[in-house]
Amino acid sequence: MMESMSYVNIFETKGLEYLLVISFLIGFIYFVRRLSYSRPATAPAETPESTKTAANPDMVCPAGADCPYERQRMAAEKEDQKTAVVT
Amino acid sequence: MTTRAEIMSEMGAFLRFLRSEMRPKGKLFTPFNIISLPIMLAGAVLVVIRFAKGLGAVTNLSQETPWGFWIGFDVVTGVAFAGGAYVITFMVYIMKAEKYHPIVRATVLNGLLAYMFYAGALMLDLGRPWNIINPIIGNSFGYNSILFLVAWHFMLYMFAEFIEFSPVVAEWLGLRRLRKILAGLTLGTVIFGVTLSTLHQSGLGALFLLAKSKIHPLWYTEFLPILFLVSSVFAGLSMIIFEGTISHKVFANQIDPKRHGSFDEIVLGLGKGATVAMFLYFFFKVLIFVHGKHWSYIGDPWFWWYMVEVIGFVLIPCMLFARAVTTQNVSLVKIASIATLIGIILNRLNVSIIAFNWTSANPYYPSVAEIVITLMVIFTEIWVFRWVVNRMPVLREAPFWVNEQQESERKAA
Repeated sequence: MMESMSYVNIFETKGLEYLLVISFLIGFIYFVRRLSYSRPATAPAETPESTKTAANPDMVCPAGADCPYERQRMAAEKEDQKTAVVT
Repeated sequence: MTTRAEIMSEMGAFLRFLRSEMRPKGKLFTPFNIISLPIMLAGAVLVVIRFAKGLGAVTNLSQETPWGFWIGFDVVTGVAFAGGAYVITFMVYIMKAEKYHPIVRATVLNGLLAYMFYAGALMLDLGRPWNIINPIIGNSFGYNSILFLVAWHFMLYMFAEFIEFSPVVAEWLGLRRLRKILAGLTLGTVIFGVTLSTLHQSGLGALFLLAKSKIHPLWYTEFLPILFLVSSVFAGLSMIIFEGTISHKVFANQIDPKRHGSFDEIVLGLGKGATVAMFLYFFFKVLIFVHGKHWSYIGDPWFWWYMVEVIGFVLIPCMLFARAVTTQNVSLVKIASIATLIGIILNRLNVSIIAFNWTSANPYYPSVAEIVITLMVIFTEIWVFRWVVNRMPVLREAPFWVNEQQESERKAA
C-alpha cells in the first residue's frame, strides 16, 4: 500500500521563524550598507564664472552671497604680498 | 601659613558666589514660565493632599489596578527616555566616538535628572513611602525579587551618573584639584553605569513577566526584558535629538558657533543609530508575533491597536530615520525622533496600563490629579535643567584651566 503524502508543517517545525531570522540577517546587511552610502542633501555649488571678476580672480564665492571670510583671507594674502615686496 | 581669617574670608567669598548664583537669570515672565508655574503649584498642593490623605484621595488606583499612570509614564517611560545617557557615554568613553563629545554633558545631566525625578516619583506611588529604604537596609526583601534589583540599580546608577557629571560641578565651583580626581573616575564609572543600565532597562520589562494573566497576549511575551532594552536605545537617542534641538535654540548664546554646525552631523549620526536599533526591534516584534502564534487576534480591535504601535510608531519612524540619514535631511531626523518618542510612550503605556487588566470590567483611567502631578514632575525637571545649564559649563566651553589640566595630564601620560 502506498504511503499517504505528508507535508511538513512550517508552523509546528518553526520553519517560519528560521526563515524570518535568515531574511532578517540578509535584510540587516542590506539596510546597514544602504545607510552607509548616504548622499549629501545638496550638491556643492560650482562657482559661476561671473563671480570670478578681474578684481577678484581667486575669489571662490557663490553669486550673490556675502563671503566675509573669503574677503578676509584675500585681504590677508594681499597684505602678506605687500610685506614680502617691502622686505 | 593659612590663618583663620584667610579661611573665613575664603568661605565668605564662596558663600557670596553661591548666593549670587541662586538669583534668577533671565526674564521671569516667559511663555514657558507662565504655563509651567501654575501647574507646578497645583501639583505641589496635590502632593501635600496625597501624603496627608493617602493615594485614594488623588488617584484612581485600586486593589485591582495598583500600578497606574505614575508607574507607567513617570517610571517606565521616563527611564527609557533616560537611556540616551548610557548609550552616549558608551559611544564616547568606550568606543572613543569623539564626534559625540559635545553632547555628553547635557545628555548625562538629562539622564541624572530623569532618574532623580521620575524614579523619585516612585515615592508618590508607594502606599507607605517610608518603606522605600527597605531594599537598601536589608529589611524584608527577597534576593530573587526583580523590584529588589531595580531598586538597587536605580540608586547605584544615580550615583554613577552624579560622578560622571561631577567634574562639571567642580569646574563651576573652581575646585581644580577635586575636578582632576573626579575626571579620573569617569571611565570606571561609565563602565559601571552602562552595565547597570542594560540590566535595569531590561529589569523594568522583567517586572511585567509576573503579570502574564493580566497583560494582553499581543503585548505579553517572555522576551519583554529584551524588548525593553532594545527600545531604550532608540528611545534614548530620540530623546537626545529632541532635547538637543530645543537646547540648541533656547541656549544658543552659550554654544560656540563652531559647534552649531557639528550638531547637524551629530543628529544624523544619532538618527543612524536609532534606525538600526529600530530595525532590530521591529524584527523582534515580528518574530515574537509569529513565535506566539497570534494569528487568531487578526481582525480584533486590540490587533489594530497593536498595529498602530508597531507599524505607525516603529516601522514608519524607522523608515523615516533611514530616509533622513541617506538624504542627510536633519529636519526629517527630528520629525522621526518625535514619532519615535510617541511610539515609546504608547508602547510603555500599552504594557503597563492600556493592555493591562484588559479583561477587567472596571478599566483604569488616570485622574486629573495624577496627570497634574506628572506634569509638575516634568516641569520641575526642566526648571532644574535650565538652572544648571545657565550656571555650569554644560553646553558652553569649560574654563581655561581645564584645558591646561588636560594638557598636563596628556603630557604626563
